[in-house]
Amino acid sequence: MTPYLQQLEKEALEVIREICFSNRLSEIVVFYSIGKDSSVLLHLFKKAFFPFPIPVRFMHIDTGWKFKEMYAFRDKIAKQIDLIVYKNPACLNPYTDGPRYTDVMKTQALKQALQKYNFKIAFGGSRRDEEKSRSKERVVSVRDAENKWNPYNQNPEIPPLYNTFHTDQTSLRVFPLSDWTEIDIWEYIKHENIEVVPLYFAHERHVVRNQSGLYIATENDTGEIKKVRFRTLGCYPLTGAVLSEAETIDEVINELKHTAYTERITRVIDYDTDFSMEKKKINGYF
Amino acid sequence: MKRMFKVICCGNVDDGKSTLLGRLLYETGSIKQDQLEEALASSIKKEGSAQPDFAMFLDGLAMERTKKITVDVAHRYFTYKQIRFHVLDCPGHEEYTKNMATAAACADSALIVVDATRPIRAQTIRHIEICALFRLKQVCVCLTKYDLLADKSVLKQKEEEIQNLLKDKGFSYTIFPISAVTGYNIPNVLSVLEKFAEQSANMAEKNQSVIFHIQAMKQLDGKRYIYGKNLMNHLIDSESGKTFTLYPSKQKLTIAPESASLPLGCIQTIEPVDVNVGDCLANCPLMATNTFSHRTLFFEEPTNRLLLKHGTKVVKVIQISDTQMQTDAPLFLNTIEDIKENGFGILIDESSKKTIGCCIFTHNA
Repeated sequence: MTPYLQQLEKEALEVIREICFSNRLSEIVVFYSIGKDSSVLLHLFKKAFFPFPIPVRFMHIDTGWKFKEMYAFRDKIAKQIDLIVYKNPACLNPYTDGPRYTDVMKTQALKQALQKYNFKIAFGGSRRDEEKSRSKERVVSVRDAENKWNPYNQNPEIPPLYNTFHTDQTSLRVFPLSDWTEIDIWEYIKHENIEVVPLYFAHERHVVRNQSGLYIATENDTGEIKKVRFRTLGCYPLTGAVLSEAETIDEVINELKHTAYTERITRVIDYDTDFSMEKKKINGYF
Repeated sequence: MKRMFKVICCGNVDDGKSTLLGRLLYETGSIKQDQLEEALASSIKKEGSAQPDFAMFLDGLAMERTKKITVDVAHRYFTYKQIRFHVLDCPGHEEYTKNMATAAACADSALIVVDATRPIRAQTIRHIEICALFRLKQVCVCLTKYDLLADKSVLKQKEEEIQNLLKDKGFSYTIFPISAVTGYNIPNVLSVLEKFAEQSANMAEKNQSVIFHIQAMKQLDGKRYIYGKNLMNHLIDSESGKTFTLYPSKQKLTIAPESASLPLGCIQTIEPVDVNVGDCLANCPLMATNTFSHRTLFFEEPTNRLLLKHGTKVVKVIQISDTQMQTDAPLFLNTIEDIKENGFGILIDESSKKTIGCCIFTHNA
């Protein structure tokens, strides 16, 4: 492993262990989204507690609209870890419910799930390079009683001296992958031989084109066959594919070194209004 | 790719920190097409300029954009000459000095941005002092807005003023004019950073100190697994067969060869000894003490009882004066002059659990 990748791994393991060893395990949860960052986070949790099993629960906030390959992958992973699947009973539809869909099915669902299981500390795989408001985020980030983020008055932080405390009025979000970039994630997946959802690799797929990009065709679409892959995975109606020839990890890494665009371009969720991610995060989104 | 190198970018508000960093990101190919289009659209809309607003790449919060100031640290990453840089863009406003100080505490070196067209501000002097307080080794001062400077002859005097501020503070430094807007001297900034990174990596490599703050010990099949945080460049994991001192008991422990094949930060020792969270293993002398000289930066006024966290140990503060502190249990520390990495802790309000200060351990004040 290159020295810098080893340093990223070391820092991630340190924060995972420090938070888990200094808090009640029953109040800790790891958000698992089935994507590449979640796969890396899961791998780091295995390493952090080796040779013991992972001592905390994982949770997938389901919307019912993930790719079928993601569900197959999740069900396989669920055999290895203690995984809770939570879905907001409101069951909104991304095609007809617009921006409310993300709020209700993701942000509100997340808050409902935290409350239902009484979790006070939630790990997530978010990275600072993903989006501009995330570049301002702490590794250990405090949320108020309503799970809200206050970006203008954050707790001062000097890694690796993490403040692991919370009170009755606060909870914590913890981001061990804060300093990783998209390429770091792939270099690490390659080095550690981590399994990811096959949708990340180029394959001929049935897609439809609309004004915001290429999307997986549903049964009712005519569509066309294109060789595509996904840089990020989410709900299929909101997650665009990219034309790609990258069939292997090495080819993905090579493609990313030369790409002209960031990965968020494939996500509809960040683009509905300016500063929409900041607003979502303030309201409790990851 | 080599190890990561952490640089802060600091200086007074409006002197051009975010613009410089945005330019560095742009020059190193770290800005993608969609981000560039967004920055171009913003500058055309606001100023009718066809040049991207480089600061746009850094200021990530809505209020930062509307007020055109940086409130909190932005973390950005770029690669130059096989070195991975982690840059921390600091706020210049006095109100947000706490965010600059926390960034300085974990950085290797500093880019200090000074507006060449204006007199030196109090906040610039304050930032230089904070860099010195946290023992940053290397400083690059960029005299920005060179393109706007009508009389270039004032530069020499400005450089002297800055030299006076930097001297006797333990920095190795360099000062030169730049323009982030026109790109003047930007390649120089990058080569200085490259040189700093090389020097810093060499220094870290030469330093043989290993300090391991213990997070937990677990037993399985009669074996003890010790988990902790490596504070220095050299890791305890690769010190098989070497002897370390366990604090506070001062027992000598030998690192078992199995440690090399365990994940990072997990070791076994040959001697079957029980250790506790907050204990420390080191191959260099540490001070085990509950009374020490300090200089504390308070981020807000303390109103309740205080906890002090250092390494993995959390203790209660019993007494605190401007220069001395006493805690209810010993810490295993170094002064910041001796080993920077082990030379400070954070102060936590016992009731709100907020981090309200950074306590720096010093030689007798």
